[in-house]
Amino acid sequence: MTNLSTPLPAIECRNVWKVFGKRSDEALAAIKSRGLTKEQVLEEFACVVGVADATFQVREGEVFCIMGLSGSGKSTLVRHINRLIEPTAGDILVGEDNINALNQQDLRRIRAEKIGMVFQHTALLPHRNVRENVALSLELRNMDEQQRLKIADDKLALVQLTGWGDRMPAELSGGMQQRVGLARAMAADPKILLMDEPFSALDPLIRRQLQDQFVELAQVMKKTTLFITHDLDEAFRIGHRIAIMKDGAFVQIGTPEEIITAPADDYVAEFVKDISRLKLVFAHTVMQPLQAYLKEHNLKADNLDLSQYPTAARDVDLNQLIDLAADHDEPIVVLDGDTAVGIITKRQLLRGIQGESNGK
Amino acid sequence: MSQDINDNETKQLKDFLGSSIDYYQREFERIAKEQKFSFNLAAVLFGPLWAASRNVWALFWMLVVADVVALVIIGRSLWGSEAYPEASLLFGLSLLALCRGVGGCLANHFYRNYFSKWCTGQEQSGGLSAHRIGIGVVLMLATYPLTVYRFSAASVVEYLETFPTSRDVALKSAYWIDEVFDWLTLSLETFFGSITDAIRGVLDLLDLLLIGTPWPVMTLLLLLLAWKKAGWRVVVFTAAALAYLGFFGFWDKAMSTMALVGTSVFVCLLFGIPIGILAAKKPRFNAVLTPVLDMMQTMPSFVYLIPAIAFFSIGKPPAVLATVVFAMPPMIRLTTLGIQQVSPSVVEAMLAFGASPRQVLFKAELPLAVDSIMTGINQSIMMSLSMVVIAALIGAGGLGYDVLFSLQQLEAGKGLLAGLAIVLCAMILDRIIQGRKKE
Repeated sequence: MTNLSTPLPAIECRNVWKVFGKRSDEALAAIKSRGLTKEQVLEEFACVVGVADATFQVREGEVFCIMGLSGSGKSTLVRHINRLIEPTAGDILVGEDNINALNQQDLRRIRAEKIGMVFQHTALLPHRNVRENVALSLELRNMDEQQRLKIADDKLALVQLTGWGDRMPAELSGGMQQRVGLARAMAADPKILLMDEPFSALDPLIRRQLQDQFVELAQVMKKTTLFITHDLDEAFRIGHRIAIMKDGAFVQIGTPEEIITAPADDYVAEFVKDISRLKLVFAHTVMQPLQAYLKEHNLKADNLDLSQYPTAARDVDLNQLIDLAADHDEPIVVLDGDTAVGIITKRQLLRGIQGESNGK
Repeated sequence: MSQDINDNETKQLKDFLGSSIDYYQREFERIAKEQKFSFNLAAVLFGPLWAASRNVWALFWMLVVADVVALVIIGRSLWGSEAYPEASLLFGLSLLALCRGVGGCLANHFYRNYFSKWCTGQEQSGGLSAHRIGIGVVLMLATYPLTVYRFSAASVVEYLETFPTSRDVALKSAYWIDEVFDWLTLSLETFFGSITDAIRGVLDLLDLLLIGTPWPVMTLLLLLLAWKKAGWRVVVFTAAALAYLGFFGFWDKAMSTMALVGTSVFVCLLFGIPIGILAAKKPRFNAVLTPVLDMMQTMPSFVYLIPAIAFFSIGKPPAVLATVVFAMPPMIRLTTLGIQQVSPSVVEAMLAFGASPRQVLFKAELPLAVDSIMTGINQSIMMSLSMVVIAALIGAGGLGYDVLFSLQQLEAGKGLLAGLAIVLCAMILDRIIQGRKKE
């Protein structure tokens, strides 16, 4: 069944449902057979639908953002990955392990070794110093003290908190505490990071700093990351791919550019309306294909002297295109390798910045 | 806009009242305009029945009490059990009129309050209701005649004066309980014996430690502890208190009391913390435990001294057990509280990093509950000390015995000195433990 050319996804969820309440099984059966809405389920069974039929894959090394407003079920969903919450139905695979089939002992081992988690409210142990907090997962696996504290110091250096190991968590600022939380999640060198709104409780400036720091770190560490956020800006800054969640179900999954240029419905469109496109939309999306341009201007490919035009690669973002356009009068030629594939005139650039929905 | 609001209010009032809308609308508006005086003639004439029919039960009972008092006075004058029947008849009648008048003035205010509550949807029905008038009549019939008769008639039928009792039931119940105690004492003799032995073992050890240690060493140790845990102020206080105990000849007795308290608190810790943990983890167990703990704390301690003597005879071990019954509830409650107060996100984080339930308990919950548990220990110590005198009743000895002896001999001075010694023991322990908490 599995296509051998593509590697196994790091995380896979197949038709995961979570219904809270005493009659969750009945409620789920009724949803499947009669297609009840969230409100009807609440009224008829006194059950709350947390996650509705979530299916997605996260590739190895990918940062996958799940974005949704509060109550959309994103925090519930992420807790299924390490089974802090049991699903009502569906399968969750982490690497080769089916998380729901594990016994308690194996589950604890996987939690300690394979999956690190960062929480919104840090959840550090207030009675232990920072170093001991970072070493927590190693301690739970009974690693000897000297070794685990050394590793903890290394991880603290990674989040630029060298020398803070002897302080108590309460002595640190919110941003620093969250970095300790990140160091703690990485202490066991897990393959997977679960981040549940890690930066939401911080003030905007610190949040921005931590986001940048995290992006840098993610490029170095290459850990598969499931990142939960209610902030679309944050999702666009951090995620390779983004899933937008509403009422427990996924509305759209795609790269930032796909979501911003082709929102799946009005709900998503409303979200992306005010997002700055400058760094999220690239040359190949706004360009006019070369043939069409030539045809429109009655030109021949042979007549075109590329050296006269400014050039840009396919994946150059709008911001850089603006710089090019500002310095040159001629339209920009988009290259795929060495061959010209498209043209961006100033008109197209402006429309691209504006967004197509506004332009047409 | 304001017309809309008025219309809406009128409609609500119509729904509420059903009848006499114009009257109440006018009166309610007057009250709303800060005109405090509003008089309801129906309430004056019908008194409690008006209140009952309008569902204003607070006013109903106030009017019933006023009515009954006035009627009793009138009744006494008519029955001739008063010296000046005419004067008291006049007084009774004017009291009735006055109370009804006040009721008439209050009626519309009460009714308006009830209306605003009704508007929020908390109360179900307004307006007049025959059903409620019926209830009012029944209640009045049940209270008025007998009460008035009991207070005003010259001689009353006997069964009205005292509650009909059944001595037999009480006697038989007590007898059965005695039987059960006797049976338990006989059949569980070895069990109770081994408990007594275990407690005596701990007591003897502590006695040996506290009394056997030479007093200068003991003083030095206590002062050092006070200095380490609570600073020099407490050291000064402890030194003064110990000097008092020494000079007034209470040293050995104080140490013996401390041994008793120490044993009690040890038993409290031994059982209280595991029970407290269990209660925090199992809500159902907690639901059963709560009334038991309430009973342990509220039941007068003399009551369980009796079974304590029955099962464990007299002496120090039953005294320790009686003390434990009284002093353990705060230990259990504060342990439960401490564990429940641990933030759920911390527990979740522990689980997310692969902790077993045991690791969650010992590495997160208990360390975070330490403050609360320390408060529990402190409470247990204080409550144990408050039991010292009662425990002396069954032969616990120590300072409590001195107080008890002075009580029996009516020697106030001696009693006060011994009492002060108990207070000082309590304060030394309290200050040292409190100091630990402030860190």
